Amino acid sequence: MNGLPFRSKLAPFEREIVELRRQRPPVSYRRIAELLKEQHGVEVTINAVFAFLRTRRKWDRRSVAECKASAPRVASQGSDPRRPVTPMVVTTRPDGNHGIAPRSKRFHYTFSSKYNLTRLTPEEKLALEKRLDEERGGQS
Amino acid sequence: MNSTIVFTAGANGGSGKSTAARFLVTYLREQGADPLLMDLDDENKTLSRFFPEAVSVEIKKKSSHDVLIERALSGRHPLILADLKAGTGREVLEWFLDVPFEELRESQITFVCVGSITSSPDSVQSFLNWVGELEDQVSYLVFKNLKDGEILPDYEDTLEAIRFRKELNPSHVTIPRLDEEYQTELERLDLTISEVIDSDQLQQNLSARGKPLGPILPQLLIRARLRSFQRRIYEQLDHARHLLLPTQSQKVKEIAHG
Repeated sequence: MNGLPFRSKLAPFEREIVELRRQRPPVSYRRIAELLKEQHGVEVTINAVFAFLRTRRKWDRRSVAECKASAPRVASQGSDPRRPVTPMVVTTRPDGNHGIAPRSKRFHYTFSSKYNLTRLTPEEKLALEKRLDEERGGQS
Repeated sequence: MNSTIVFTAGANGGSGKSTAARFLVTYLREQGADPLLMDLDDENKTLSRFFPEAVSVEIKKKSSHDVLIERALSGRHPLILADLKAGTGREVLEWFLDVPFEELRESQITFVCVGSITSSPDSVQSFLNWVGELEDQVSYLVFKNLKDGEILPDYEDTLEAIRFRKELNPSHVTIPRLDEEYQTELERLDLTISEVIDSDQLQQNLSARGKPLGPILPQLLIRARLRSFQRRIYEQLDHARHLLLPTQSQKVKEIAHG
């Protein structure tokens, strides 16, 4: 025990990691762990990145406000002044997806505290079911 | 790591959410699975009442639900069953929106959302609220609970529910109405049907876990009715095995195909 409080080895890269997660779609935890290894030689598990961010969120909400003010992608100096930090660069695919296909919205529903369902007559119900079956048949 | 997180979607109170969870637990145990039970309904604690071994989680804030993912990532629990708090409030749902489903899927962690629908329109609306947000990131198992009536027009005949059924292909289980007298006794004594059926009458009307069975439930004919009732539900759950026990189902398929 050297008397110093525990400090995550990810702390110097906090800003960068937060920035990567704030991108849409967010860079995956797996990719962030890879980038940390490739660009900074820091080896961490996926769960460590997840847990690090969760702990930071728990501590305070300041990162949200700061990240909104700072420019996206290029992160500022890390929080450890002893260690020079170069921002991590993510090579985004032309489709902007970091290897993960964007999720297509398949089901739409807007919740309301008032009744907002649409009751159908038997004929309307049959027609809708038929149309949806045809659409699904067309997709497969 | 392979882990399935089965969770009850936060339907309105009294829609049979915990009843569905109870059937799931006893069914899964009968299938040889040993799900980790997590009671995240710190208001009612229904799951803990029926299964004292359930891990009771005190929900101080939204992030208290992180424990679900932590347990799954630990790799020690292939199956987790979580009973969430009732209510249509958005807090728990918002926690789910932070969950990195795609990444967890890469780690073989999948989610099954259990809905409970009654003849009350609110039960359908609050469930669809969850579906609208979670969409195809989870699989769905819907319990149609007929305790308040056999007609569920808001689930059977509305545009929104039909779209849900066609687009997201949920599995269904119908829970018929159970005699009120039996239901009351089960609730009063914190007993599952499975406990009543498996109990040994010779042991002074105590369940295998040592809970009193009361004067009504141990009767031969009533136990026979309860057995038949449970069998009807288990037979339907057999059709949802691929969701609840994906690894087992895969092995069965492999054996069947030589």
